[in-house]
Amino acid sequence: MSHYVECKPGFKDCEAVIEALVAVAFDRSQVELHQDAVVLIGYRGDERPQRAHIVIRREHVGPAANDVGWERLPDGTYRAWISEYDQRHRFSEATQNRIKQEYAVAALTRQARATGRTVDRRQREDGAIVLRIAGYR
Amino acid sequence: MSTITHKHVEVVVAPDGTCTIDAINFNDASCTQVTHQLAAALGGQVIADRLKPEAANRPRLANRTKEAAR
Repeated sequence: MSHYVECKPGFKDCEAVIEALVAVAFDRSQVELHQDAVVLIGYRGDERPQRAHIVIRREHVGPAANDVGWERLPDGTYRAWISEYDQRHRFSEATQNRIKQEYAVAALTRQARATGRTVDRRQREDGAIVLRIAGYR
Repeated sequence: MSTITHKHVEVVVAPDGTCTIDAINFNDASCTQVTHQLAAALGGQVIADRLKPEAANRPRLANRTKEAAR
């Protein structure tokens, strides 16, 4: 018997979100994690209405950038706050997709290892990442 | 296609983050539980979810030997 699931990841595991950001572009020291959501700051130093629990400050994003953040919602998932400007620059669609891909890899690897499995990662030529999870009895 | 004969899960994470989670060589309904656990860890939306009867138990090697001996 074999079972197959196809799914799109949602951001739920904050450590996996941070691992994904580090894998894609940022140093761990540039990623802030807050217990309570903090205000995001705009490129002119102005406070934005958005708040977030995971924050990358604008000086680490790029010139004229705004703070970028992920806010934890009541259902436990994280929503991204990325300005239109930053979506055209450092956080392009390609970069956001890479973050989703690395998030999925990190979340699955963490879940598998937490239950005693081994995980082997392989990069395919088409850009996909293949994880082989073993150790089932 | 995987040629490994023991129980394992193969996950293909596409460049846009979409995942296909495939439990392989499981011989009971635990394969459904395993794939659902991993999908839940992703915290996202399930697009497709199905059993693959075509990938059901491979014939045991011992049986194959018995058959050959007949």
